[in-house]
Amino acid sequence: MKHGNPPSARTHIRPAYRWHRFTVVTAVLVLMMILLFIVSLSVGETFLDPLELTQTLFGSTTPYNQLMLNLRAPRILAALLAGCALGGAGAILQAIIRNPLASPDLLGISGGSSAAIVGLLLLFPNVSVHWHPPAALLGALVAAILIYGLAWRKGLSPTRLVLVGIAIGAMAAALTTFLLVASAPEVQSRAYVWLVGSVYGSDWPDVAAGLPWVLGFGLASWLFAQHIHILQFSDDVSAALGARLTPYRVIGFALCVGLTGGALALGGAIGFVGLLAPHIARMLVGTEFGKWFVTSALLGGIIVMVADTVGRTAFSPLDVPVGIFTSAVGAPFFIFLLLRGKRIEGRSGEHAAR
Amino acid sequence: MLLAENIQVGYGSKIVIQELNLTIAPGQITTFIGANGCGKSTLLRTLARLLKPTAGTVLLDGRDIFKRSTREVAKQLALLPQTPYAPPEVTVRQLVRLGRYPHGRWLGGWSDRDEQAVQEALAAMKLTDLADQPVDTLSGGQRQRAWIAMTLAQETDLLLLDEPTTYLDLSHQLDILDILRELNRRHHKTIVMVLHDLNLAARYSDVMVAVHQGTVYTQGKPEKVMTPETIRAIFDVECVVIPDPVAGTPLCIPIATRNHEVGEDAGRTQEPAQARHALELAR
Amino acid sequence: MNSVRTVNEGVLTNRLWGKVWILLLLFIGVLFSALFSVCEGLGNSSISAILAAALHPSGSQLGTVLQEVRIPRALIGVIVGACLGLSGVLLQTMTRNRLADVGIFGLNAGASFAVVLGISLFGMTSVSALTWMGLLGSLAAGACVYLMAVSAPGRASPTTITLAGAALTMLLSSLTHALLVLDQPMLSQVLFWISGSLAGRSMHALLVTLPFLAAGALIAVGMVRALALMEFEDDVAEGLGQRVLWMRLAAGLAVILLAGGCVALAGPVGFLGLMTPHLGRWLVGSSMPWLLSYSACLGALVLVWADVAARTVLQPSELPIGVLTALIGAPFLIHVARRGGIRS
Repeated sequence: MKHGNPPSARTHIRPAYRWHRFTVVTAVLVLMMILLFIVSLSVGETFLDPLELTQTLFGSTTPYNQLMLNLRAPRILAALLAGCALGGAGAILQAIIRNPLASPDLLGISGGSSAAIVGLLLLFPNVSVHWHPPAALLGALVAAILIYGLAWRKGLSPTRLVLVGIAIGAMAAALTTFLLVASAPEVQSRAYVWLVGSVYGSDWPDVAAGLPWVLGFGLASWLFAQHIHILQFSDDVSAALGARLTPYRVIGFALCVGLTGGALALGGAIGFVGLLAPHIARMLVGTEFGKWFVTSALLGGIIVMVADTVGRTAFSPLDVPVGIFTSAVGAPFFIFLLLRGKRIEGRSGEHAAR
Repeated sequence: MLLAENIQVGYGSKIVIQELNLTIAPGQITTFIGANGCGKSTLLRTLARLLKPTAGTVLLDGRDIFKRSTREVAKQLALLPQTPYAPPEVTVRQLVRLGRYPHGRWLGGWSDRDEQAVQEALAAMKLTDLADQPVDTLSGGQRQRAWIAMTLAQETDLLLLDEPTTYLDLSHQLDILDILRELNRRHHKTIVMVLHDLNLAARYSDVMVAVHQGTVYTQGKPEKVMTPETIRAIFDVECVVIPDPVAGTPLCIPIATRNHEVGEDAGRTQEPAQARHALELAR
Repeated sequence: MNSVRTVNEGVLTNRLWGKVWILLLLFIGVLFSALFSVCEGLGNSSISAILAAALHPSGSQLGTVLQEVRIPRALIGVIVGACLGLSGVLLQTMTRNRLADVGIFGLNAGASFAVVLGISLFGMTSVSALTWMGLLGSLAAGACVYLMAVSAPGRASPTTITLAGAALTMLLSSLTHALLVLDQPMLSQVLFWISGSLAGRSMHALLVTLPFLAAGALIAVGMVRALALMEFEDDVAEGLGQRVLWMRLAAGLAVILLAGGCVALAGPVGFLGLMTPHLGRWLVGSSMPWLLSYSACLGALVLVWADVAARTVLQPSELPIGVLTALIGAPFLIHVARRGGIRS
């Protein structure tokens, strides 16, 4: 090591990160998020003046206070948080599976959460919302363990993981249906709203119940970013660089499960966000995981927030669940990606061909 | 100082390497040669601690490589696998920065020292101008240089490469091998690699190791290893060995495989067998 | 390599008469099961009384029950089971994915969506109208998946098709959920249908879908030889003079007709098409004519018994049959995944 350094270029050191692009993207996204938040607060059945709203945000009391703070704000925040969590979870999953088509909902992880929540609603209809996140988490965890365990055969093939995940998702859907059929009509309709993905009627306790999960797992993922980053390269490369593959993958998977569970507890099964957000983020900032994760989370939040606002206002008095919008936009996008094709297969580290 | 002590390696019940002892000479270029499936890649991966032997062990500086923290090992020993994969968006710089992973601190902070290592690796591989290109868009030779730069940023004394010239045309093969020799001569890296081309191996190596049936058949200077007897034993090929008119190293001119049938069938049986089977089924 | 290994490994492989006898046995088993399904729970009526009532239904209450409820139900069970068995073999063969199932490929979701749409937008109520909707929905969804898969030039690989189906399923089921959320009263009305059931299906619905099912089955039988080749890489099949594209097109059409008809009749019945080809392969290996006939018989057998169980286990309420088949199918899924029946 003492003599291992080539002598050239020792003199000039360029700035460490190419922060530039990432900084701009993040700043723009955060700004967008704030603006859209305010817009979102002001539109609705009664239009609220954004200016007065901003004043309210900074403390002065206006007549809008009640309406805004207790009806719209928690709902928008729930959408925002759920979206952020889904965007982050999607990025983690795409990184560890090395497949840009992976997402928590396509791979059945969300399906596990759905079954768990519907089960909870069926068995304990009056349970406090604070039990929703742990239940969703537990469901996601069981699904994830099943997927992981079943796809494991002397290592993980991303293709196998995708196919097993889809199958587990189908099983979880069957289980959910069973639970629905078995439950009373009012539970059915509550569960249905939840299954479509909706932040309808979210209030402060809902947000407070979901917030620690999303923030906690989000922060943990960000701290773990360098290890998730390295999992994107072929196994030999990362192992030779000193990464402990299996523990890191398990941790990454667990983080993804945690975020998914949190998101589902907040907003139900909002589809395709976990696919869409990481994809756009990847185009914006590349796959260096720390940056990718942050960008994807921001984008996810924005997407869900916008979708919910549109659903709430565009078809008034109908309140269209947010999951419908994200699916309607996400599915064609996914299919486009699929047809563009080049990147779907052969992206595993196992394949031999270049 | 890297050495394998009486190692036995296998996948499942299949034993690939048996009772193999090998010492890698520091400061030298060592090349493994051998037939397909003889265990040379397995040996390299075992030396790089990616495969754990079922018996025996690998010592790095006198300590068991499997009992040391894998990140500590990665500061001393770098490996370039045969067909490494990186996500398509990754740029050359990002790839090279990956080499700093074992040196990283807990939260992935980035020091001047890290940056310097990356810059030097890029410069040494003449990639500074291409640093912000995605690796996917580079030519085969450039891509291989980028991967080598990644291992350089690791700042290790030992560099292990699994067939670094596969898929490259002749000029790029020579280019990569010249770079490796340069790294060895000027920067005193110990290089261990697997090569398929016997003549290039003989030209560029200080030590050749002929691997046959999971163990070391013979090793030593190219002149000692590249003999008609060795080639016959490990490849089943009759050949004459003459001095390379350019480098003076031994040059192997093959005459014929000793067992013509076996030699020809080995590579090709797969598809016709499948097709035959399919035909039978359709009937 | 893998493809060679998976060929001919059934336990009955080398005994022609064994295969014939077992098939015959299965067939008789199907008949008896159907008979049992017809008679089960009809109280103390003797077999002869039931037979008499079935042959001369006029008037008696028993006769009406038999003709209107029991016989159609058993018949639909047999037909749907057999067709799902056939479509499972076709689908798994053409996608070379041992985890393929019509449910995963969006057909069920398409049918559910169409039925819910029919009820909520057009106020349809009659079973035959809904059957038509289900048929159209699954045909459209199947065609969509299929077009997506083939319009990616040269890339219609098994994984691609599977993923396309999964995405479509997600989209359609989200739309279905949406309609149901917006129209809550309808929910309890259709929930049972969209979870798969043989209850309340009429002979008329069967007659509506029968031509589609028959056409699908005919195509499947007609392309037995070509199917054997589909197990192999496209290059191998092309090399043997098989037109891979046409072969895929025909198999895809057959799957859509069969599965579409089934879902229109019985609602989404998952996992049956996943399960029976595996059972069949275990018995007779992948020799196509045998596999198709075994899979069809096994499908019918399993579905008829699942239906009997669905209506008896939780009496007086009835379980959706899709849930039951999913429960039976889960162990198979685990088995297949563990044995690594997926070629990537």
